[in-house]
Amino acid sequence: MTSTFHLRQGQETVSYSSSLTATTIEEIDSIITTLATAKALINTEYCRVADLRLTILREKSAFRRIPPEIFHLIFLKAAEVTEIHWCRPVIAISQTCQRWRAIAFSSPKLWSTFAVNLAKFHYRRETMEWYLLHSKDYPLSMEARLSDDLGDGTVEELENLFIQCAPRIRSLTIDTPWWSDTLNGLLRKYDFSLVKSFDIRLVSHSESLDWALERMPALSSLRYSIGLAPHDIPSLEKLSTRESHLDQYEV
Amino acid sequence: MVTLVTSDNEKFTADKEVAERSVLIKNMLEDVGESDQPIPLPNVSSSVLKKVLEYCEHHRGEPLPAADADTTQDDTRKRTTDISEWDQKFITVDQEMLFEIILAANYLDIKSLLDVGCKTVANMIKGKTPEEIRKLFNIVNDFTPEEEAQIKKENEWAEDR
Repeated sequence: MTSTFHLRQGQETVSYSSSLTATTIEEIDSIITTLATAKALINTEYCRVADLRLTILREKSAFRRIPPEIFHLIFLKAAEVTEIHWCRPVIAISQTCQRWRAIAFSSPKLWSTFAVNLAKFHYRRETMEWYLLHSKDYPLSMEARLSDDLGDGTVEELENLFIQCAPRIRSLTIDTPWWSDTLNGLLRKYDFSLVKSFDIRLVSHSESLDWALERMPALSSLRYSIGLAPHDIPSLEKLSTRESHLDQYEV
Repeated sequence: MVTLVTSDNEKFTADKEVAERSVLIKNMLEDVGESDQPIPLPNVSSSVLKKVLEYCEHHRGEPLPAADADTTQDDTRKRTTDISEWDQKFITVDQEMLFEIILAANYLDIKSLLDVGCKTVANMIKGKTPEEIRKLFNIVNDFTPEEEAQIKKENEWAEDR
């Protein structure tokens, strides 16, 4: 069997015609060198063609044909709050590629739902502001957990946050095992007048709860702990006459 | 019975009740009235339509979700990525087919199937870093150095502390 080839890539040219008549080591080394160069050229070309194949496949793939509005639906589902922790999926999505980032930033709704541990707020402030910036004017849905004492300086930072975002909150969940000055202050100080859904996971009553409920005229859904007896909470009785959806649950 | 013709020219027959899970087909049938004419589906291949009809057959008779179901519900997004056992098994396909099903469900206007597809992809995204997401979907990182610098800053904020 004989083989002949002529390869050219850029400036490099390799010509070869098989000749097994070589008898000296020098002649055989020369053939091996020629073949090694040819092998490298073919390998480069192989990689180029394989890359091209991948690119064409990627361009034609169903994934590439998914329109932005479907990605938006997917991102909303990925960003749902299932437990109290920082909503990382939204951030991961916005950091994947330019296309996803543009879709994420054009969706205020995607940034409108978040959970925050208020005790760690000092470390979360900038991310929180990032969420508020990209949620634009979209109604907010917030889960606030307060399990530890607030750190130094956090109260002031929280005040600045709630002045900004409380009037935009439509759905508020407060998860804390006890009444604290922070919680009392939070419920009494800010404007929650647009809250439609309120979920408070507390086992005892405080006047601050009445105060807050009185100032939530848009409230249509309230979930509260089974530890709170409705007759102990005057505002609950008023709510029940407003056809609000009241629901008690075990903590 | 309704005859559907796919992009690769294959004919499928399905019960009207099954085919009408697709709002697009339902509207087409209403437009043409009583007719034996096949319905062309130029955006759906036979392999995908086969899967779509399997889904519609299984969910035959179930109430159709309201067209504006997503906008009428409260904005709180809780546990929306749960998928029933049958649907989960049905949607366990390779990635190309998964996205083909999503595209077909969108084109055919089958809201519940679109929902299952989107939930599946959402579940694949959850808990992954951007790099893991890129690897999973074969996405090229096309950020400019300036965007990379901004992203680095965002990650410093979001770090767990």
